[in-house]
Amino acid sequence: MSQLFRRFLLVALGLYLFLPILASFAYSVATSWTTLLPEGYTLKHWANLLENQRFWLSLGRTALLSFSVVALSIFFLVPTLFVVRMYYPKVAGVLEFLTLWPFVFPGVILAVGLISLYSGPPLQLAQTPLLLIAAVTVISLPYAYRAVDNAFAAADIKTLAEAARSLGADDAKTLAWVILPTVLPGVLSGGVLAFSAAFGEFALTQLLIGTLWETLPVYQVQLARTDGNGSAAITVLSFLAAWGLGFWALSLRKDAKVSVI
Amino acid sequence: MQKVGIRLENLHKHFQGKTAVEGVGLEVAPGELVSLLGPSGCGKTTTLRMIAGFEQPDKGRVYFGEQDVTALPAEERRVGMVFQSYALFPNLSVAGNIGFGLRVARWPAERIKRRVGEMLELVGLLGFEHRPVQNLSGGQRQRVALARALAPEPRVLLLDEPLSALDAKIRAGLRTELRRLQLELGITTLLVTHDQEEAMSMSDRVVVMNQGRIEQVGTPRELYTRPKSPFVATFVGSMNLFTPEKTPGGYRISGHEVALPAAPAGQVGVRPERVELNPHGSFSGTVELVTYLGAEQQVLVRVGPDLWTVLVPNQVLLQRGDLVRLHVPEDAWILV
Amino acid sequence: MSLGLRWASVGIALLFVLFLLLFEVLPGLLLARVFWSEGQLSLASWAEATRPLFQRALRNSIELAFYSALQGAVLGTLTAWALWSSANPLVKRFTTGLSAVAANFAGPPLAFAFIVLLGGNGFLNLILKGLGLPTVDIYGKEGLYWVYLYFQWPLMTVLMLPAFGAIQREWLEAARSLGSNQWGFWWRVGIPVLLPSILGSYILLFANAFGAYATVYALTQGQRNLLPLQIGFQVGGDIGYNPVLASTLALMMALVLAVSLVLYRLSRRWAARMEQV
Ligand SMILES: Nc1ncnc2c1ncn2[C@@H]1O[C@H](COP(=O)(O)OP(=O)(O)O)[C@@H](O)[C@H]1O
Ligand SMILES: [Mg+2]
Repeated sequence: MSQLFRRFLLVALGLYLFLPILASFAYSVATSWTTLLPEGYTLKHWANLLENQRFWLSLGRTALLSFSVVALSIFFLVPTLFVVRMYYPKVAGVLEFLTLWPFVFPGVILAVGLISLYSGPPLQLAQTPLLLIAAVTVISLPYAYRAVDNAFAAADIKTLAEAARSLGADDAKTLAWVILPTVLPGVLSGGVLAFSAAFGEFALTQLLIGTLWETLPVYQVQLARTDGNGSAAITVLSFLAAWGLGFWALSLRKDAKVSVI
Repeated sequence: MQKVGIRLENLHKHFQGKTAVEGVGLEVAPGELVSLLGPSGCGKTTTLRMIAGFEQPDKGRVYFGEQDVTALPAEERRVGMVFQSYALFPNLSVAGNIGFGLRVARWPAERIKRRVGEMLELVGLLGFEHRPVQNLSGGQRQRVALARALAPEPRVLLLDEPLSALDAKIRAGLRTELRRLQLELGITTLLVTHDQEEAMSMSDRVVVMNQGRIEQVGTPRELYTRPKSPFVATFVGSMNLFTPEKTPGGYRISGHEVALPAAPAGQVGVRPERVELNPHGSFSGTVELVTYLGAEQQVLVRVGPDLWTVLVPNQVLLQRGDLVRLHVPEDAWILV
Repeated sequence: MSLGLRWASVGIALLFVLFLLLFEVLPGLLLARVFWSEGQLSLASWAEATRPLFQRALRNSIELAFYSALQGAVLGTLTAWALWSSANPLVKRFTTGLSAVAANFAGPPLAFAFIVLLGGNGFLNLILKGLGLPTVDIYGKEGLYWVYLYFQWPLMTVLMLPAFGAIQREWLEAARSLGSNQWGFWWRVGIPVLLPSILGSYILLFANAFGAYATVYALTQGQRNLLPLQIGFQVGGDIGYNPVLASTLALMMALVLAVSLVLYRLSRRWAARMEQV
């Protein structure tokens, strides 16, 4: 009985997670679909999408945004967590607090604050991609922070550094040969998670910059008004990207543990 | 408390084609404490879990007294179980843990309270009833676990490495206490352990297991003085073991002629404490290592191709490189 | 570490703090400006933000978050239990990974995927219609629940797995040897031990649905009276730009989330204590 119920639950979850993608894929290659199964199949919608310059431009902006967010996150997080873990462990609580901030101020709220703060001088950043990059970095920080921090915690870099030094390694060597290689998978996994979060970001983008600097999700919302099939193709691409990145990030962690906040 | 014995008949258990227990048969008398002793992975826990009802044997039967309990679910067997990890319920206080079985059995609140009090007294934790179990030390936790197992008056008590997670000092204290309690209550008990000292000091009889099978069953003295296999000989206490060579006049061990009490079938051994330092001894060797143990010293002596372990009183001054002669009384040889 | 390396890192860390102040902390704190007008404490904007329209938006958002989290919590807890008691490590790993990934998937692609599935001519609706069963209105009230369940269910599953991992199999065995059956164990020990984690995870799911903007925006083009959508309208909508009202509504929302966060932290502490044995 309970065995059967367990199976049922897992199968139901699997169906729930896969059906929407499968349906979207079918829709993106269907000529017309008003009966149980599509009437015919075609690659026309995909071809249209791939020939559309707006699609490529929005994809390019999304990629630019995502890579910038990753670069910024790693640039900030790795040195910061390094000094905090190594020299100032008491400050860790403050950092932790700052990464909880987006919980109380999610995208919509942050957008309101940013707009009123940066609409005028001295920092007139409103409606620029720069502000968007900064904002998306803030929002995706919890993901990257967790992964990188776990990597530093697991590596116990203080002991590692002492061991390396006792074996005669100088500081640069300790960093290059011991610490960085140890935390690298965690950093990479954090980067991938941040990339994925930035890739799918919609609320901040729409409110801060909207169609002035159209990213893929914003373009999809526009496209869906006129071309449902093309939008379904973008859905499939987004799913593939998110799932691919997600599993990649998971595979970079030795423990199968997943943390959300 | 009704006293019942335990009888195991030819128990077998495989896990995914891997044999964990193979043909274990055993009889435990009512009120007896029997240990299952063996290296890690030899099937002790699996045997115990089949008795408790958590594992169904592939073959064989389990009896409590005359009752065949093989098909009885664990919750109806009335066994008391104590685990290495204590397995205390973290959401319940000390009293809540001890009274758990009583509440399940729907005892009236008044009686539960009284019984919990008795159990606390029994394990020396009076006054702890309202403590959260998180606030207890390891030794105290294991006492609570024991009290919890004993409270509903189980027919048999099963202990799976109950002391292994504790510090050496606390372990020694709890060992005697556990045995005293067991004798006082007269409860039939099976104790699983990989620690031979624990098994020898606490048990009426010891069952030595190896690779899923029983190697030997006997009192601690029997096992020590008459081990039936090289495995038992080395696992219970330490032993100098040799394969004797047949010579025209008798046998040769470590390159020296010896007289043996009987014709050996396999190997021949001698306990370190039975080897004597004696200028007229028949074995000559060189001291390689002296380890001071307090009351005595353990000396490694190179004799021909073999390294002997010898226990020597600590008045004798020895050092590395000394030439010594060793003597083994004829009755000290153990044939295994 | 050579001093250069250390101080360069400290420099970057300080830069990071400055960055967070500018783009995270200040934008949040400055929302409170709405209570000052001409150097005085003023509740005028609060009165505006508590108009019936916005009261309803707040109530709708709370209701949506409450029930959406409840659905996710029930299904996710059961699924985590199924994974916990599953003997197959492959099923376990795959489902866990899948859930972790799906839990973070939201926004326009998700909304449009559900429209394909459950829209007017959606594939599942066609099946339901064919079977003579009532169809699902994805744009209606229940529609959002279906879409949100897509991330709530796996999110709860992922959140509850560690909690189940803290339940030792020996506890179940100890309970059984004391005469209790499986149900008795879950009732007396399992559920009480899990309770703090269930509550904490529920709160996360609540906040997750409460603050969600992208999915519902894409699904309904903003045609729902929910707090995040109302806030969006005030800053970038067609109705007009009203930063003071937007800030006040945002504060209102942040307040609910702050309470959630405090409750979440409390439940975590309680859970840690429970699982520490
Ligand atoms: N549930 C199980 N699944 C698979 N193998 C098991 C299981 N339980 C025990 N085993 C295997 O059976 C053998 C005996 O285990 P066990 O009875 O726990 O040994 P012991 O308690 O003596 O250390 C071991 O090799 C162990 O790996
Ligand atoms: Mg064992």
